[in-house]
Amino acid sequence: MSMIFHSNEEIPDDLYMHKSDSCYKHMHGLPEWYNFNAPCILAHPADSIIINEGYTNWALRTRRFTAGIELNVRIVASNNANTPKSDRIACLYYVEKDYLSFTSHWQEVRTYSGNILSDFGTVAPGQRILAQDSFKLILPNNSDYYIIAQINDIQNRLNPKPPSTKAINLEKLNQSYLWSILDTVNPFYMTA
Amino acid sequence: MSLLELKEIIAAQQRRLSEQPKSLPDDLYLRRWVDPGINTAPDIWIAGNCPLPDYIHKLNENYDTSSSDTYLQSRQDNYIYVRAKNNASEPRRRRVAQLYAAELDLIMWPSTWKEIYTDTGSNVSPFAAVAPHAVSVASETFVFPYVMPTTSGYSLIAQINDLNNQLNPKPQQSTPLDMAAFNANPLWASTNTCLVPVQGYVVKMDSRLTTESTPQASGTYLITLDVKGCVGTEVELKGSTADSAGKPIQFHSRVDSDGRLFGSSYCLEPAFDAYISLYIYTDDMKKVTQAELTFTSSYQARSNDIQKAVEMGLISGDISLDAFNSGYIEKAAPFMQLRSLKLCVGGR
Repeated sequence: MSMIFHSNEEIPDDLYMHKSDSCYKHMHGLPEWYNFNAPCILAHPADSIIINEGYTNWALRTRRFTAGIELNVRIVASNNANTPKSDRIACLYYVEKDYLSFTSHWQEVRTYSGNILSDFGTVAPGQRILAQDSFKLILPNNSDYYIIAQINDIQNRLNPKPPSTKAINLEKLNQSYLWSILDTVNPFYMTA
Repeated sequence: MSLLELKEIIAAQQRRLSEQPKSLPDDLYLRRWVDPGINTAPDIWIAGNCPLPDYIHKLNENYDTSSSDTYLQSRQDNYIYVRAKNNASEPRRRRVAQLYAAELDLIMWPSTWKEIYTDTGSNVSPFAAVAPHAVSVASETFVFPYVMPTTSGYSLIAQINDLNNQLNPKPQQSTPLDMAAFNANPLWASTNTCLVPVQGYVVKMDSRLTTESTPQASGTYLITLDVKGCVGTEVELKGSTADSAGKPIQFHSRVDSDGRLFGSSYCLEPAFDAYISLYIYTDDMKKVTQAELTFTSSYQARSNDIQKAVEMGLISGDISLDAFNSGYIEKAAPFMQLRSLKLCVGGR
């Protein structure tokens, strides 16, 4: 199976996760693609007031990742196609920082109902939507993790997880609009 | 109640139980720890990061004398076996073992137990029919996965059940287990173990090694590992079971130049099925940013087999005569399907 990544230049005619510039990247002079801030991954302590009251503000810049704390994670996507899209799902993984290149080390995160995927339902053209189910994430240690969100279709054809026997190209992965990666130590991003 | 108090209560229960006479079920049973301070269940056999080549025979033989003294290795797959004895006066069939891992302080909460799967991806490991008063080893190897978080340690919990999940179902409750009753039940056993940390980084990949179930699939296979993009590291390949002749499927080598190929020959029976783990050991993750490991198994045909196949028109006749001397046919398949197979000759 070959790896197909969608280029940064083209937003697919499908659901996608939007990108944002990284203050961390600019502070440290890192490459242009080095944006591990994933504004489409919303993560809050499960007892947070934001969760209980519903998301009223999309740009939540106060994400904190503490080991052992149960986090309620939701994925936001937008439909860039001019037709409604259905059968689209989100999956979530986490991995220790050094092992990001190796998909075999990615650990699946499950939703509160125990599924490995969260359905987007039917998404109208241009609509921005939260995947229906929240993921329940408890990071085991206070070290640096990446949280990885994936948009796929229910048939696993749109954007399958890359095969595990080779190191993946992180630049391409990070430029894809169907993947979003969040650095738990530096989760900050710039908003316009 | 604090965790410390809970631990003291559990220790007291364990001391009390170890003094009570044992009542065994009229079925398969697991032995409890001999010394409550150590908490070992001799019927949960931790083999560490190397599978036991002849585990069915070996664990049967040392049932009365030995328990595993191996700890789990972090960042590696660990192979674990479960054995049991039949206390009934008649054979017992359709019995299975299941295995769970719980963080050390969480054993009393079954909802936190993580199911450990076997090398075939199943959550149960079946016992063959067990004769009265005989010892049996569950036929499939449990694989404690390399991605388990590195904590202070785990309790491994083994369960004897039947295929219908009626004999001894897993407790489904939101209240803590009655540990006294749980520890007294010979259909359950638990053992505490720590995770031994490794130096440097271990990158894990995996694959499967299977052969067709037709008799023609029996034979010698060349198993190779093509290693790219990880000069200066060490690579290792391990199979969850030995080959059909008892030879462990395993090789370990330092990669001193790019594009190295490692391999060895193994005898495989039809319907052979093993879980293959590939590891890269490195002191620096920068050495593996381009890593690519390709695992191949090739049917190693005897030269007259190939000649016969060419004569019968099953494979193309324009193959070099060298093929008759050193031929490998990729993938195991009966000769009748050879026309669709790729023949690789010489020097592979």
